[in-house]
Amino acid sequence: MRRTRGSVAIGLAVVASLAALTACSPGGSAPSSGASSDVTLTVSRWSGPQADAQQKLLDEYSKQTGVTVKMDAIDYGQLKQKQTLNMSTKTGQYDLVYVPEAWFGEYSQAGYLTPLDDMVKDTSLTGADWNQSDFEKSGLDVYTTAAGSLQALPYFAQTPLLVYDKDKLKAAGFDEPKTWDDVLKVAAYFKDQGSGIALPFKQGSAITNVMAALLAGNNTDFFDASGKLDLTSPAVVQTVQFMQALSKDSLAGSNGWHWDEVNKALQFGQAPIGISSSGLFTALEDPNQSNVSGKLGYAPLPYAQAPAGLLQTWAWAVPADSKNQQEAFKLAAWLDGKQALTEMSQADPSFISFRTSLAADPALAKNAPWLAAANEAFKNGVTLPLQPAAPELLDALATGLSGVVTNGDDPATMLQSVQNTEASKF
Amino acid sequence: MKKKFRPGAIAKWAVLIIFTFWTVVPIAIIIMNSFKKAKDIFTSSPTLFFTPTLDNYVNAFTKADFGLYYLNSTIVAFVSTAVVIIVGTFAAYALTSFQMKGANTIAGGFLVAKLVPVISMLLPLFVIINTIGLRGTLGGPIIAHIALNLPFVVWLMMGFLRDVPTELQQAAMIDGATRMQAFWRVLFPVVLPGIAAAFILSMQYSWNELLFSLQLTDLDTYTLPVGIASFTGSVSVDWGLSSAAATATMVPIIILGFFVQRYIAEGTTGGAVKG
Amino acid sequence: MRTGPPPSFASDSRPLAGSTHTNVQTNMTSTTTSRRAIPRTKSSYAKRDRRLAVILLLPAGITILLVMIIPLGFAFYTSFFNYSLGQEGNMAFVFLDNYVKFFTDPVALRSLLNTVIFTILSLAFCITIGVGISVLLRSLKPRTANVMRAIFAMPVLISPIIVSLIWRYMYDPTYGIVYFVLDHLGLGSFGGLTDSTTALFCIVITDVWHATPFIILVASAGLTVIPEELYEAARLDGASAPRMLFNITLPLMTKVLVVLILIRGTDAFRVFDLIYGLTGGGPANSTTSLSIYAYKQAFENNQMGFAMAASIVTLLCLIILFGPFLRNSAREKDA
Repeated sequence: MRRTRGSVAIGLAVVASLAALTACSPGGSAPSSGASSDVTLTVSRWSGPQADAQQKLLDEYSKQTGVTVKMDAIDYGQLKQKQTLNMSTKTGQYDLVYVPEAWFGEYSQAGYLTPLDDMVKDTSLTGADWNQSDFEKSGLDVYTTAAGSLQALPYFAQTPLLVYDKDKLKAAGFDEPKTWDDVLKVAAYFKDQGSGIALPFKQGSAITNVMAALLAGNNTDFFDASGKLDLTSPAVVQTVQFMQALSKDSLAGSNGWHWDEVNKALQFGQAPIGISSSGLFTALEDPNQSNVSGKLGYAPLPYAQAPAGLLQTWAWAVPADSKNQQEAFKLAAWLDGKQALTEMSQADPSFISFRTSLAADPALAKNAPWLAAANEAFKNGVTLPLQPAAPELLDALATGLSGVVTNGDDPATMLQSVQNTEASKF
Repeated sequence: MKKKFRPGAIAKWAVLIIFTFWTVVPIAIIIMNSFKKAKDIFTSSPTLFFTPTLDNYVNAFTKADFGLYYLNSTIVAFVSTAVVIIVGTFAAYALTSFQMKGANTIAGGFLVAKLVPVISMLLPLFVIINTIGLRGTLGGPIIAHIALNLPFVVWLMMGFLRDVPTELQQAAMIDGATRMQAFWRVLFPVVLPGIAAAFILSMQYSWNELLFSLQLTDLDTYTLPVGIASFTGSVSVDWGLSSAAATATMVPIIILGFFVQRYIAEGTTGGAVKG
Repeated sequence: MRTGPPPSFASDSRPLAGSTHTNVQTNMTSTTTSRRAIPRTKSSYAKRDRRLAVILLLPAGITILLVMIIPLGFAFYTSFFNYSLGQEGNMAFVFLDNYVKFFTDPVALRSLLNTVIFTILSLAFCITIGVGISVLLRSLKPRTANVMRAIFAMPVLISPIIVSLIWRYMYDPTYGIVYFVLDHLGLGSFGGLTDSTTALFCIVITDVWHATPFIILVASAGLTVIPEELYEAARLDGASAPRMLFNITLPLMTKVLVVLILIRGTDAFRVFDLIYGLTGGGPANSTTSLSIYAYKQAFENNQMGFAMAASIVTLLCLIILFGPFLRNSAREKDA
């Protein structure tokens, strides 16, 4: 009895550790579908309304083909980590990964992705009505490596747009704002009225996205004609000065907002005008969620020279470590087929695909009043810089821009200092 | 107790009441938001009166597999907490009450482990967990949570054990008790408040931890924080859903905390009642 | 098999607890000299002791080695390389370049400064408020104290994701209750999270809300070792409440306080979730912490080697900052 108490305690520790280990045995629920195929595909993407809409399509695919498809939709902030951890360790966890153009270079360089060049030519995988020439060429280009290999199927496009309350602007005597000057006037007017323009000017990716689109509308770029970083040209400085001027007439709190907060300010009627991302617009026009559905106008971002936009895209790629590459590609091609894309846009109107034949589809445009503006923005659309050092450049610019709009830092000085630290990397 | 007017007592209660408000208001906002439609959440002045809706709860529970998440979270939190309390308390006992060479070095080693930045652990731990075949199982987060909580529990329990006078142990040992008997009879009751505090704090950490619970697991082994994060992802935050999910996640751990924290002041209670 | 303490414990502990009290008083003056005085008559006994100690330590040691020390070694190793995830074949040894880069990068130094400020402020508020509230709770009737402590404990039980979400909502100038209150007080021009002079302080406040219950729980448990008799004796001597606090409570709590400072301070130094959720490091890097900085380098800029160097610097700073506490508590034990 004396000695037992001691061994009981140790035994307890052992039992607890054993319990830990048994709890580790895979909590595997058997494939739920009754179909006979033993293939299970796991899809990695971010969660949210688009994922909810996609789940229905995946269920439909499972029913049609008997292939079990699991959608692993997680917090966007954790997505890249989870994808890279799994692909770099070659766990084979994912069969299809959702990838934006910003990650594509890193992934393809690391050899994470399977080239799709042969598979897109195989109609037994793509289906007979694939018709690759239907895709917007810029989309395919983004996901083609320098060596000319296509490694992802472009799927979803979005762009920052100007959103405004038509009634409120009309009541104040404004037409649709198109140029920098137009928007500055509107913003100043509403700032006087106690609100202002809602801007995604938190230190983060949105503020650099806006800058990139505005640069394009001013016929300039982060780089000069020879591809060298050139942030100190007058056109770039001018653009940042415009951002600073606009932010002075912004809604309180804008400097801490990302796309989502701007979109909510529009959705619930606090902001009469704002810059938001087309990927979030479904909520604006849903009468159950929005106070302003049907009242909003959409336009490309204000420009100095010509309307332009930023092309932001997501695509499906098949990881090199997937054990079901052909099946995975089949699913990607099905999702990117005309039928599934149409259903996707119907379920989530903010979903815009790369198929040119769908761009003008009146049935889809009916639910998506922003489609005309988005197409205009895409027509003269640029992408963010995609060089390996681009994330560092954009991070430095986000910080600098944040200082310009919150602390009133001088745009030219800020750009010069980013130019100094980043130029050698390009 | 004397019933006399004392300014000290008034000040004391004023502080406690202010602190109660400070603590409760943010939580009340989360709970209220979970019963609100989005239109009632985003108003320019706080809405106190609104038509409550259960939609958020219904949606949250249909969109995400919360039943599974509850089960997984419960297993992860209880197993990792049980292991960490047992292993940590015994380690602290060994480090404080045994005349061990290098006890200080080992104790310091535990603390340095506590200082390792999480970001530098993720990749190597992922590789280790994958190599031993536990990736995608509950074993990943369990092991991670045990390790992350251990330094805290060891140090906390060392703090408590050092405060127990040696005479107490001596008395038991002279009675002929073994080390472990001395621990159970003498030390355990005295350090029970510390164990209760360590229990609550390890439990809450494990219950709420996101990074490892998301990165080391897969669809079948996700826990509650993963479910919440899927509603708050930075693409767009669904306030109603995430508030509902947060409330549903909060309730069990708060109830558990309510019962366990009673033991935290056990010593005082005993003294005060008897004294 | 017995899975818990024997049922007789509760009643057993009373007389023992009673004897604790008198002993503590004698111990107070002669600290812990008698601690090592456990009789070690037979060497076999000592050997058995040592074996038991090793058995008791082993599980904890293995876990820490596997999950913390090995990854730490990996981090240390890769911090000398130019290394990106997925580019394991192209690792270039750069020796201290990553460290030089860290200490010449103004953003890195800014984040180091932010982290130190955040840690000091958060720690000071948390400890002061937490210990103060625990002392107040001890003076209440046990039942009332239990209920209030349960209420006060709630914030620490809430997931950091939700904490940052709700505070961002409260801090929002358009929807938030903070500005609703401030406007009524005529302080509506407060910069909040969108002003680089106030953003860090706002995050400190959130952290204090979230972490003070941690202090309350541990400090309350720590207070139980202080015998009520000491206070009664002091009260008879006519000591005031502050005097009792400084002469009895705090001195007798030093060990728990040191543990609290170590644990809470190291947590605050590694702050990530709250900042990530509230500001993402902005505006203009005014809230970028070392963890945020390292995270960006690792997973956004894909510079794993450099991120690991930043992590190692974080670790070294922690050791420098908290080393004195560590040595202090170790010395006490040796005394």
